[in-house]
Amino acid sequence: MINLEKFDPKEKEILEEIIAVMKKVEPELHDLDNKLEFLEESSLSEFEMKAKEIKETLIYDETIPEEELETAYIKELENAKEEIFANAKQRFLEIEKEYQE
Amino acid sequence: MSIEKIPIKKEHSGSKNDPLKNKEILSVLKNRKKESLKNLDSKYLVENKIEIPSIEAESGHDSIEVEKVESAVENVEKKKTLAKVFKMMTTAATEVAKKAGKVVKMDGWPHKKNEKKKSSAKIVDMKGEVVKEEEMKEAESTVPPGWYIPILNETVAPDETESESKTESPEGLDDFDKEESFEDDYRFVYKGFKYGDEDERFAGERKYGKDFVAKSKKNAFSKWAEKKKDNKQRRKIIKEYKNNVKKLNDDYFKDLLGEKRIQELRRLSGDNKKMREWEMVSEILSDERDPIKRKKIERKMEIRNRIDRELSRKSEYIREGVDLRRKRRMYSREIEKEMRATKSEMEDLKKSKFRLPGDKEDYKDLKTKLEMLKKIEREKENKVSKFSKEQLARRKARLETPEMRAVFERYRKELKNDLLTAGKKTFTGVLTILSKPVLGLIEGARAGGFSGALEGFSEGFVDGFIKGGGDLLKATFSLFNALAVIPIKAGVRYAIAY
Repeated sequence: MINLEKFDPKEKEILEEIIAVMKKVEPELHDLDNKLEFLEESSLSEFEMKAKEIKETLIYDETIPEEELETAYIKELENAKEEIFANAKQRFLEIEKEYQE
Repeated sequence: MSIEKIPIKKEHSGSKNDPLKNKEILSVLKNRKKESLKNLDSKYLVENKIEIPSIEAESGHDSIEVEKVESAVENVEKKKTLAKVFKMMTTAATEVAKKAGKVVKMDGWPHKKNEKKKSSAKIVDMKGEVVKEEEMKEAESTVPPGWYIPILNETVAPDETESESKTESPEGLDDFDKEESFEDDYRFVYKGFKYGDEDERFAGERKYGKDFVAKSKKNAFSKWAEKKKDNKQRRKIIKEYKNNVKKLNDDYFKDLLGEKRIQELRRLSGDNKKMREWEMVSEILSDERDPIKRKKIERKMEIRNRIDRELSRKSEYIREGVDLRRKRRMYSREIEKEMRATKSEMEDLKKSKFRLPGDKEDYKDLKTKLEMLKKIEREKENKVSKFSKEQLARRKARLETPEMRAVFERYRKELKNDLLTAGKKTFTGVLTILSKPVLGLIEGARAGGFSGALEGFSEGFVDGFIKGGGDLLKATFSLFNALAVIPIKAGVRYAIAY
């Protein structure tokens, strides 16, 4: 925390005013912080789950021969990553737009 | 103790074509019964006050009389005695039939209390051909209603043809052959039990239509995201539609159609309204001489038409999805219901401590059935594969090597970095918006002249804001984190991303 006592009364007054404005903004900032954190974490866990699904699907997929499994897995993972990021990016933009409005 | 005589129609004593048929069997049955009664533990019978029902069947007569002991219904122990008698009788009948070159098969005896299922006794020759099949009505069985006498199942050891004989039609071999080929269609054959699509309960796509789909393997988040995406898309189309239609109404319909036509349209609804509206527009278009106005109207109507099509397509797609999910749920419910019933039957048997002979076998069969139901459900979820266990293990191992793990980790790391970069950008953008009032204050104060520590602080902050990027974040974070009761996590999180 800033120690306001070390400032002279005029500076203290200005700082108090700045702090008062910032305190008003603070909840919104925390809200934004949580939203972004949730989006990042949920996207990552979605990727992890998706990877598991891909693995399971490929194991049982009779159309894919054993020797092509690795290539298919890598390709699917890349696609999944891109898809999840594209969704997240869209959401990031939406969040920014909410504040702009 | 009252004794009630129940006259029973003779079922095993000859037929019109062959009056002497089975007479020998009945005679043996009678003798064996007498022998078995002698062998019974008389002390046990006296202690339990049990009277054994006797069966009288005289050769040449058409009836069997059974003495029924009323109190026996209340005495469960008597079932054991009766069971022993019946077991001996049926074993004897089997032996005699075998000697005569025939096999006696008895199946389908009611297993449950108050079960109305009819039992049948089939007499087949050694080649397996049905020589005679007779239905045994419950009242003729000499067993009080609700009694469980499983011994008849044990008289002929179950062989490989047993399961086939269950589906065998009594009419003859022609039908039998047909059913043999039909059985090839069974999708689930497990330990001699056959289930599958021909069973209405598990019909799957046959019952629920060609569009039947297996349970979605998507996780909850994906489903939620998809649903949200669908709804968002739908809302967007509706919004676009409404905006266009509204604009169309404002721009044209009010002036173009006129109040009279609008009033007319208000009285209509659904397809009629749409049809009439198009008719009106066509009339107006045909009357419109100005090519620019005509073009404008046509373009607007085209937009409206396209949106209309898109909206109905999207709605149809959503409806289909809902319908499919409903069908899948219905199917799952049926399997689950069957599973619960099976489990309950198993529990009942367990509770009764397998009191009656055959209970343990029933329990094993039910267990098999339960496994089969699980298999059916798994297959519908696309989790059953034609691969052998070894193949599956090999395939799994190929995707779980350290190299594949490293690939996964690489993509995960890349995604994390991308997310943090995008997150930082969003955070910076929003922070800029939220910091504006604070910056305004600092700028104002600065213009008035700062001194000492505050000047340094404000200069650092404003310079940071002007330069943007890392400095802005640092300056704002330091300020907010210094003031905030709960520190803003983004500072730490995005610092990692730099």
